[in-house]
Amino acid sequence: MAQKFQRYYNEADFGFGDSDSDITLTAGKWTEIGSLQVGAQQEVAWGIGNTSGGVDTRRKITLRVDHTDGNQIHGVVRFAYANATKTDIKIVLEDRTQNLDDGVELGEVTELRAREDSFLIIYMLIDGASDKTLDVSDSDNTLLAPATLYQ
Amino acid sequence: MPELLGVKSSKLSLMDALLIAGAKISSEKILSAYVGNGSIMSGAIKLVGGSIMNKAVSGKAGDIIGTALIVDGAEDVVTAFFGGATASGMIGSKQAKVNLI
Repeated sequence: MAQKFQRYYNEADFGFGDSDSDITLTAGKWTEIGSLQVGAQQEVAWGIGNTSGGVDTRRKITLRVDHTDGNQIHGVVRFAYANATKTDIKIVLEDRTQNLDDGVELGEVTELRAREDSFLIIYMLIDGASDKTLDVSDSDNTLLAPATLYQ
Repeated sequence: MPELLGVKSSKLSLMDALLIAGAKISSEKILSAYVGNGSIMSGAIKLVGGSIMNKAVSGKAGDIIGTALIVDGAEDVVTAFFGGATASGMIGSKQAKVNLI
């Protein structure tokens, strides 16, 4: 039986680093803004905890991304699994940036996990009709993503 | 239809059976968050609870609620033994099958 532990990923784990390129977010189109490839001999599930037994052990997922002009980008965000070739995508949570600012409870997704070489992946659909540029090196960018890792 | 309405099993009438079934479904949902479901532990708690409720609540209501809990408890015990007799199945809820992407 696989042994599991809980962990938090941040923006750097998903490719929001100082050396990464800014991302163009096209209005009206879902754009991948970050992904994390599952390492060798592991399986990863989005989320931590559950609400069974009357006790809520879920942890929050938080996301904030900023435009190159310094303002927060608002829109809808999808947290998903993708296979190694990103041809099969399964969404586990879709929510608005206004909610994700304060964090949204995300319990462990127990019926589906990403295997080795598959991805945890984040997509965004921005509000408005104008394209925006996600400044990946902005210090206000925040991603706190709970996950359960099986090894 | 009149034959259906007159259905009885010993002293248990159709109306009693429907009330017991309704009470069982409701109590199962409510108790599931606190004691679980389908395990030896939840079954034992419901069996004892059913007996206590039958004595504590007088009249037909006590009979209905007590029977519902006892039936639910017995179902949990039988499920734990025959519905996957693993160690985790006996003392806790069974985990759903995990798919991998």
